[in-house]
Order: sequence, then C-alpha cells, then structure tokens
Amino acid sequence: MNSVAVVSNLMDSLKYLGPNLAMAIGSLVLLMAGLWIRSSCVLTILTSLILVTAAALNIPNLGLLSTQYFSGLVYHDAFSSFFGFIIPFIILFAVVMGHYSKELLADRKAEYMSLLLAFGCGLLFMSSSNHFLMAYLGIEMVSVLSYALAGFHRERQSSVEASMKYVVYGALATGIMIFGMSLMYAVSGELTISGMRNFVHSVPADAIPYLFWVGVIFSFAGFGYKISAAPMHMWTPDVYEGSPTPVAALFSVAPKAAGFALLIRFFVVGLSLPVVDQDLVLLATKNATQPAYLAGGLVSWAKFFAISSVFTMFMGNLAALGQTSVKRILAYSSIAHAGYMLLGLTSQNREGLSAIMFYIVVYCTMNLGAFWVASLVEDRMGGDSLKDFKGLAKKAPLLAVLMAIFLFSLVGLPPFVGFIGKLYLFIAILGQKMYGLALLAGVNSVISLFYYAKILKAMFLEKVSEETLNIQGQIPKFILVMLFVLAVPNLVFGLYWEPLMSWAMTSLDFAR
Amino acid sequence: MSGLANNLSFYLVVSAIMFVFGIVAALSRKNTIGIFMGVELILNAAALNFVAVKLLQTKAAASPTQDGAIFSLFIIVMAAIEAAVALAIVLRVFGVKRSIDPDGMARLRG
Repeated sequence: MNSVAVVSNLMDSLKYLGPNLAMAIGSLVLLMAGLWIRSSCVLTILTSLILVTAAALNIPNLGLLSTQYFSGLVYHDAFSSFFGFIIPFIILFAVVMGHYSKELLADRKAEYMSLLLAFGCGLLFMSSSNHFLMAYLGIEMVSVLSYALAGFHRERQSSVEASMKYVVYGALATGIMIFGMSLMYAVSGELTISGMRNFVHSVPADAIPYLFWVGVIFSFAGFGYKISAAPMHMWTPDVYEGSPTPVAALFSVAPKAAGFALLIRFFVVGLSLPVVDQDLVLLATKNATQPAYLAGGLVSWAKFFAISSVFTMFMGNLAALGQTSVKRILAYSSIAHAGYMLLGLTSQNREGLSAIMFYIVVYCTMNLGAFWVASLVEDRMGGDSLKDFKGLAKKAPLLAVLMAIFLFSLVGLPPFVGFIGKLYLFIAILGQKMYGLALLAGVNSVISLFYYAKILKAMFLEKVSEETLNIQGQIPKFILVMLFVLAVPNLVFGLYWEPLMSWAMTSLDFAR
Repeated sequence: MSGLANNLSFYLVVSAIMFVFGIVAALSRKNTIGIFMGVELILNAAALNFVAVKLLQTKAAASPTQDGAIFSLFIIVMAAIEAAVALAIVLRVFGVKRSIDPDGMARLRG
C-alpha cells in the first residue's frame, strides 16, 4: 500500500471509531476538568454524557457492512457493536457507583472517572481487535489501568496489596500470552486473526507443527486471566476484596465481557472452530454428525474447553463455600460464572455462542447490582462480612429485597433471568450430547445455592440483637432508582427474553 | 552469515530458554522486583521471536512486511509502561508495609 492509500484508509476508518474516540477524548477531558470542577456530581453527569455519546455513536454504524479497518488492525461487525453498546453501560454504572461510594476520596473522583473512560476504550479495542498487536495493546490498556484502579485507595493496606497481586499475576499472564502469540507467528507467519484463519484453512491439519498449538494454549493464558478462568483465577478473590467495591464490581463484569469477546473471536474466527462455518463444513463433508474440529486439528477444543470449564466451576463454587466476606463470595461466584460461560464455547455451535453473549448481558445486571448492595452495606456498616448483613431485611427492607433478586438470579432460579441464561447454556451443551458435562454444571448450580443462601439467611432470618437502626433512610433516592434499573431486567428478561436473545443471535455475524 | 543464523529453530531454542528462565525467576523469587525481572525475560523472549521471524521472512519473501519488527517495538514500549506502573505500586506497598515480600501479604490470603 502506498502512502496515499494508507492515508485514505485511515480517514475512512475513523468513522467506525466513534465510540473509542469518544471514550479516549472524554478521558482526557475529565483529567483536565478535574483541575477546575470540584463537584463530584457535575463530573458524574459529564462522564455519563460522554458514555451515552459513546454508546450512541454505535448507532450510525449498525447498518454498515462488516469489515476490517485500519489496514486490518480492527474489525467492525455486528459482534463488535454488540459489545460497543454493553461496555459503555457497564462503565456508566461503575461511575455512578463511584460517585456515591465513600471509599473513593472526594478529591480523586475526577481521576477515577478519567481512568474508567480510558479503561472502557481499552475494552472496546479488545472486543474488536483483528491483529494480535491490537489485542495485546487492548489487554495491556485494560490491565495497566486495572492495576491503578485496584490500588486507588492508596492509603489502605489491603488496596495496595490487591494492586500488587494484580500486577504480578497480570504481568505474568500477558507475558505468557505474548510469547504464545510469537510462537504462532513463528509457525504461520501471520499476525492477524483473519490471517490465522487462512493459515488453518490452507494447510492440512497434520502438517501444522505442535509448536502452533502450544502457542494457542499459551495465548489462552492471557485471555483466561482476563475472564478469570482456572488456573489463572488466583488473583480474583484477593483483588476484589482489597480494591474499592465500585472497582471490584467493574472488574467482575467488564474485563470478563471483553475477554470473552476476544476469546470467541480468537478461537471461532481465528482457528475457525466449526461454528461460523457449520454450513460450509456440512456441505463439504455431507456428514452432519462429524464436524471437522479445527479443520481436523491436533487438539480437541471441545475437550479443552470442557476441562477448563469444569475446573473453573468447581474451583469457584467449592472455594466460595467457606467464605465469610460477601465480596469474597461474589468473587468466587464470578469465577464460577466464567466456568458456566465457557460451556458455551465447549458446545461449539451458534446456540452456545449466543448463550454466552446473552449470559454476559444478564450477568452484568445481576452482578453489578449485588456488588452495589454490598458496597452500600459496607459504607454504612463498616464491613462486608456476613455479620454486617445480619438483619438487613429489618434495617433496609428494600435493599434486602433487591439483593435477594440479584442473588436468586445469580443462582439461576426461575422466574429470574439467570435461569434463562443458564438454560440456554445447558441446552447448547445437551444439543452436542455432552450429558456428563451438563450434569457436572447442574451439580455446580446446586453447590452455588448454599453460599448464596448464606447471604439470604443472614439478611432475612437472623435476628439482630442490638437496637435496629434503619439505614434505608440514609441511602440516596437515586441509588435506589439505579438499583431498580438493574433489578427490572432480571425480572422482565426472565419472563420475556426473546428480544435480547435475538439481538445476541444476530450479533454473531463476524467479519472475516 | 553462517547457516545457524538462517535457521529459525536456533532463535526459537534461545527464546524458549529465556522464557523458561523467566518463568522460573517469576515463580521462585522472594522479592517483587525479582519477579518483574523474570517477566521482563519472558517479554524479551517473545520480542526475540518476533524479530527473528521477521528477519527470516525478509530473506525469503519478495515483498516482506514489517509487522514482526513493529510488534517487538511495541513489546518494548509496553514493558516500560508496565514496569513504571508496577514500580509505582511497589513503592506504595513499601510505603505502607515497609516490605515488598509477596509472601508477607497476609492481610489478603491467597
């Protein structure tokens, strides 16, 4: 490509980049605005406007053809705009949560919001990257800002320790990932996901050296770290417990959403798992029962993801049983949920992938809500252990009821949306006749009931001996409104989930 | 140039050795700074791979791309960024705790 073509490609590409640009510019604006504007309220409104703009800038791009832009660095397709809508809204809730949190000092709110916007920009790049370099930069952008956010309460020992643990694990995981990518590059000579796809299609599977698959598995270390899949989950409980609760809420959903986006794109498009190409494969082989895994590759990715998923679910759920801190329970539950979502990749069909995307959306609503209630209780009771939740039904009935909705949804009880999400994941597994795996996942759901029930028992059944103080009156009305905004989808989508599901289905249109 | 320098597996073996040393250092060091030195080794092993592949591609192909070389430049830059943030965090930890031994982080248990 000559320089004129490069420049015109750049200019053409900019129109797809609206949301990312809005986030990046907004981050700089917030950094400057913090010098003059001291009012946290004004800053929150400003940030919210930027985030809504970022989400709205996706709309004109919806009808545009799926394509690669910036000379093949980044994708624009239905899949990336799905995450382009979700990510700004996750950040929005984290911003409002931070505005009301007493853990974040008032004079640092502008920095917090600026970091969050840059964090969101990194997430958007993660979910739309085509080139390994872009994926690496997106992951690093998110990681480096996560380290800073985890240690945001820099006078508190637990916060800086959380930050240090995060940075040690994070640096190691991304290092292993980048080494894996270099091995893949050494074998294939390709650095893009679409190039990888061509490579896997053009070379017979048994002619691809083992080194390539070693590289793929090393790369999984980086993605697995972002979605906290076992055995890269060790950092999760400590970081969630130590970092300020709004930040922990953000960590539990946002990197997971973008990490799954990258994981799906890497494996489904790059290594062409027989998901997108199902029809092509069927045409080629004329045999519906034998999908050509990885064009006949050496590793059975269904088994790989099945093992990873089961391991992650058990690690999360069993460790959560003995915990007394609600934040730690939610941290282990978020590990377990990563395991459930990996089921969708195990099934390797469109149903599984759309179930993952459906689950990501509903998981965001329930987990953000649960963390927010934990944050409110921590701010007012001085701790987040189970005994601080004792008698919450008396002290703040509305909060207790909302928390119950979020927890029931996390368990996956009907009529809440968590049930529908899990149902779709299980159906995808059963459709591939993996009955043992479905049984293990069901056992895990039952285990998870025990520790969620511990929180419910503390809130509703345990008597408080001291004089019951009503903390509901202290909670600003707007927080309750926002909590309702999170709780309503849990009920509504639990009864009428068709629109969300069809959106997830149509978003599976990848550019290649 | 000798035959050795034209052989990709030579570079891969060197980088694999660097990678293993990096992992061992990161897992066994009792000092956070030492862990980050291990991570640096891992990143440099990856950068070496990228440059080596690009070098051999240039020799083989008629119209070579610069992707591998650019990638290794970005790795160097990102390693510097990560080190800057990590050292700032380590300084904070030392300020709060007077120690940077990761095993001494008993406040949050593994």
